[in-house]
Amino acid sequence: MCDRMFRTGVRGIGVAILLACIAGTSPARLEAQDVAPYRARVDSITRLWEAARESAARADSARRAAISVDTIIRGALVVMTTPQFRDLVEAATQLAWEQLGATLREDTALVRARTFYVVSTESNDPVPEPIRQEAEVIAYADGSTFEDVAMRIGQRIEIAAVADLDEATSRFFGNHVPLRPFADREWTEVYVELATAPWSLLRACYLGDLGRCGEAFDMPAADDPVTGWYDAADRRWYVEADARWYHERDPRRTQCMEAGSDQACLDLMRSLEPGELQPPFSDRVRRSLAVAALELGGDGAYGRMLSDTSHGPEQRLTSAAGVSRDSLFATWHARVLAARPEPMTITRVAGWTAFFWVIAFATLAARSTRWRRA
Amino acid sequence: MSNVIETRNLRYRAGRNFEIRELSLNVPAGSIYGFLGPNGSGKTTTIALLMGQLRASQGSITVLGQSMPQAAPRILARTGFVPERPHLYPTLTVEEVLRYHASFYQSWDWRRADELFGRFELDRSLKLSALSKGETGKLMMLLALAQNPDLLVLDEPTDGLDPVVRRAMIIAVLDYVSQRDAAVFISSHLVHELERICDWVGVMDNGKLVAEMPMQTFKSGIKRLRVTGAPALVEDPPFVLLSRDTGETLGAGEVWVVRGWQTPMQQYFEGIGASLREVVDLDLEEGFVELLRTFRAPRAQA
Amino acid sequence: MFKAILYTQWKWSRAVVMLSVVIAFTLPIMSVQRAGITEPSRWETQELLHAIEMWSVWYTLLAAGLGLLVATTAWAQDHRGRHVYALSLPIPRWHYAMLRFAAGSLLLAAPVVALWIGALLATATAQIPPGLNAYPNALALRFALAAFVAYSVFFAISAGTTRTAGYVLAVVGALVVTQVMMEASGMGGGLVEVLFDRVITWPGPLEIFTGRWMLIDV
Repeated sequence: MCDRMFRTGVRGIGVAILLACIAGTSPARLEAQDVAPYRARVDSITRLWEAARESAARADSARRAAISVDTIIRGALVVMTTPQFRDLVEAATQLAWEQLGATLREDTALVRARTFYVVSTESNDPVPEPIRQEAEVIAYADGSTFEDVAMRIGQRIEIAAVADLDEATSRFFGNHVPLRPFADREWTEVYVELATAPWSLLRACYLGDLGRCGEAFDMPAADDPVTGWYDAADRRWYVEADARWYHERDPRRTQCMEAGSDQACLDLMRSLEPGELQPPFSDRVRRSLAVAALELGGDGAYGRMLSDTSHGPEQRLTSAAGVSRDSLFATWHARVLAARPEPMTITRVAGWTAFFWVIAFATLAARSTRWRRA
Repeated sequence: MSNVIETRNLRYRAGRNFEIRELSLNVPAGSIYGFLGPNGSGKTTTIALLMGQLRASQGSITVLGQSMPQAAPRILARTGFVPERPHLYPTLTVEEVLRYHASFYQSWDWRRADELFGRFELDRSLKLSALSKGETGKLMMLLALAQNPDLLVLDEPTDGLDPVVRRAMIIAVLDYVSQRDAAVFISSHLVHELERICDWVGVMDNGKLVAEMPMQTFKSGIKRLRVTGAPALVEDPPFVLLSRDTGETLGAGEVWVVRGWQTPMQQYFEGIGASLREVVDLDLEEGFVELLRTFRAPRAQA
Repeated sequence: MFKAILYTQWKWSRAVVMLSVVIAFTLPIMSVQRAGITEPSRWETQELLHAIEMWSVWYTLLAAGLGLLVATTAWAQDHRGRHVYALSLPIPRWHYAMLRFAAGSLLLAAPVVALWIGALLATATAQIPPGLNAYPNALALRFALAAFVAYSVFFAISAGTTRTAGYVLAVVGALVVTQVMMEASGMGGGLVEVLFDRVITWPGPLEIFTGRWMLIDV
């Protein structure tokens, strides 16, 4: 409690100084004068603020030395760990904050402050009770790299960020706001999903019909998702693939699948509770749209996404991107297609490299010794 | 070119306990050189050095006027080699081995190969793994001869073979030599066999060449003498006293084994007050044994 | 000379080569049939992709195994006779080694061609679902390069003396032992992993074995 107040106080002082300097400079005066001196002043204050935070971290660490806990602070992240894991956790915290910064840029200040206690699963020491009360525990498996730990920290931040959004947007993101850049591998997975998805809507989206992409994203929201997302053939397969009606031996399932009654399929799918109907796109694909919007929007994109509180995901994302919905879809679509995985085809470099090794080892064989032992 | 094989101060160490040292061999052109030595004396190792399969640590090897191993392919193209142990691919048939081997030699003579085939009575369709020891030996000899080599290097080619097969192989070699002016370097511990065909002999023992001379000189030069009344110390004999055995095995008197004996040397014994009772010719095997015995033991005091 | 060497190598490795030809030909066909891809519906595209991916490991195993067996059979008979016969032949050692290498390379061509034909047949008779593409030529080319790389590696090891092969194995064994000891002592450090990464990532020799070995892919 005292620690949190201490940190909050330091942060508050820094922000206050910053705001005071900004408030003291009216827009009129900025318009009339050169911005450079003010930029220099802001930079100077920022450096003072960082120094104050470093001091707070050292004081924090010293105070916690009694219970052998080190504190690492990076931006909004306060990460505690035992001294033996400090190096790994410090690198992970740095990476996690950098990843957030890569997506959010100046809007990292909008990230909610989080306190974590990071520990290896191999550690036999129990989590100290004072720490358990104020921090979220993240355990990582022995052998994890600092990238692995950074990913875990980032995921917790993303889960917590849902609290700043409305319910519809939270659901759209799958309760997991994408605040970190997608790795190439993740874009590739999005491509594979889009390219191989069975739904007619997604087939059309993959082939370039951006309007159908919008429908798949539920932008605008469909009046009836059952008919809006799935055509008759899709519905028949949806019913067949969903095991619940098989186990319940619902007669409508037989009518839907074998008698070809679309009405039976509709009845079954409409009988699902709100939120139970599986949308065409997975959570990962929907998050990829958000990542594309944040990348497109540049500076202030995340802030704009948070600030538009009265609307759902469509408006939030277009506001974040700063472009029209169709432009956002076009950008996302191009990004996904560019992530097509390397198929079987061999690049020229790889082919020549393999050929080089064949020659190298053949040469080695040619130099095999002539002499044998008696 | 006076020597078809020449080594100078050859040195090679095989393992911790055996070494070939200061080996200086001279095989005259056109000769049949018998390379004698007990088991483990270094004969096969020497042959491996001559054939470029081992690298000497010191010294030089010249075969057919060219340096081994630098000119190994050119030398081997003119050399027929029969190793001590079968070296061919056992999964091939006789016919396949012939064709395989022939493909490497421009000088290959199919007519000679066919003639030897008939003489050796080999079955072309049999796999090498199914051949007897004698048949394998004959096949290796056939391959070596059908190459039309200028030099034959034979490492105990008749070892373990029955007399019929041995005779057939020796005759084939002699026939070949009589048709071509080829040299033969043949190693064996079957001394009596080499005695009949070789005109030069080299004796190896424990990695060293202990003797090298024309066969006739070797055979005629070593004698066993029965001597009585000789003094304990013998000064300046005209022959090389290899051994002096005072034990009574042939009757009264001592048994002397000498080298370089000539008949007029009988007078020497009169000069020292001794009596020469008997002069016994030693065959090659006996001479070989005596030579090794004296080489290994300290020489009798003169 | 080359014909003679090729004949002997064919005789020694024909069982391996023939078996590889059969496997290489049937592998792509079976991967397509077992995946149920002959008459797929778009509903099964992702499952089909996954099923095709399950077969990909067999291509790498076949390439590696083929290279290993053809290389070792090339030298097995010479090793058995301690290279006495090969060393008594009137050609330089390097020439002899290259003739053996070339003969083995020629023998490798048969399974490669068989795989190529099998892949072409498999993709020609299958209905590729939308969103997926067939890569028979790329698969055959990758298989060829992987088989040749494996062949050349094992050929070089087998061409040396038994002592050389022992050295190679000793180095590999020492690396593994060192890694185990480092982990046991808590020093960590993925020595073997680092070296393994160098080998399987570009420009390492085994990089050709990595990647998506999929006859049908996105």
